[in-house]
Amino acid sequence: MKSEENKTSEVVKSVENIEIMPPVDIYEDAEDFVMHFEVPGVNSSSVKVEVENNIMTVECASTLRRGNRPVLFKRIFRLSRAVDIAKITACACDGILTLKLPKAEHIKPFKVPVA
Amino acid sequence: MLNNLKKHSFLPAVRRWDNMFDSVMGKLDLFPGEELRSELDAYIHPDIEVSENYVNIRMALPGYTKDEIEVEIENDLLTVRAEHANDKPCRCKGKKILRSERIHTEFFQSVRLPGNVKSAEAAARCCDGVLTVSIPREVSPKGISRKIEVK
Repeated sequence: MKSEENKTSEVVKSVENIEIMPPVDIYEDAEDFVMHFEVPGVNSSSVKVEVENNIMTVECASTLRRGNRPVLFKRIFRLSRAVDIAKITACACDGILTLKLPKAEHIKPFKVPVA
Repeated sequence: MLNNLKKHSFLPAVRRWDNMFDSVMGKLDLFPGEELRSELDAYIHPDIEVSENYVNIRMALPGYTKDEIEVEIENDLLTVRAEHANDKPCRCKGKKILRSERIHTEFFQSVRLPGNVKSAEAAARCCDGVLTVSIPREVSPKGISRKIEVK
């Protein structure tokens, strides 16, 4: 009986995702923060980006497998108020996920017009 | 490799959190920790599947297009090289780098193949940053078995 239980738990484990934290490059320009994640085996339809209470979760289901387990790329960031959350966009191409996080209006430099 | 995976699946949950935009305004962490680099090895290693008729090799090559990848088979050695046409695309003027964890150098990996491969019939395909190389194998003729009487 005990060995059967062990077998069952092994089967359950075999279908669990294996989570890997993908490396990321981040840069900013005048308008946006831009993030490039390395996520091989991922296309746009398998990307999930969620923001809740300024916590951004990025999840990408990959076609890569390790052993019998599918790879899930996952990374979590805490965003500051410098980001306009409503305007975040994501795009995956050639195994690179690009997130654009537009800067909020209130942190952009304000130019004073000279009369 | 399995040991590696087991070890890294128990990374403390806190490693999965990045105070990116908090740190933007203060200190910068430009170099990935040793733990992160080791964790990445888990997908950098190629998957090799050998069957009676085929050898299938899958390699992760994120960010490379098919024109930037070169695959070569010499005797029983498969070599994959990849280099970005536009080196370090995000290091341009007017952009401030906040974090740099990806490796932008040339990719190079060799894999020793099992015997009886038909390298002239090999095919390679790159999709979503994953390179798949399929090489057919010559099927060796089955041996004739016969029973030997024990006297």
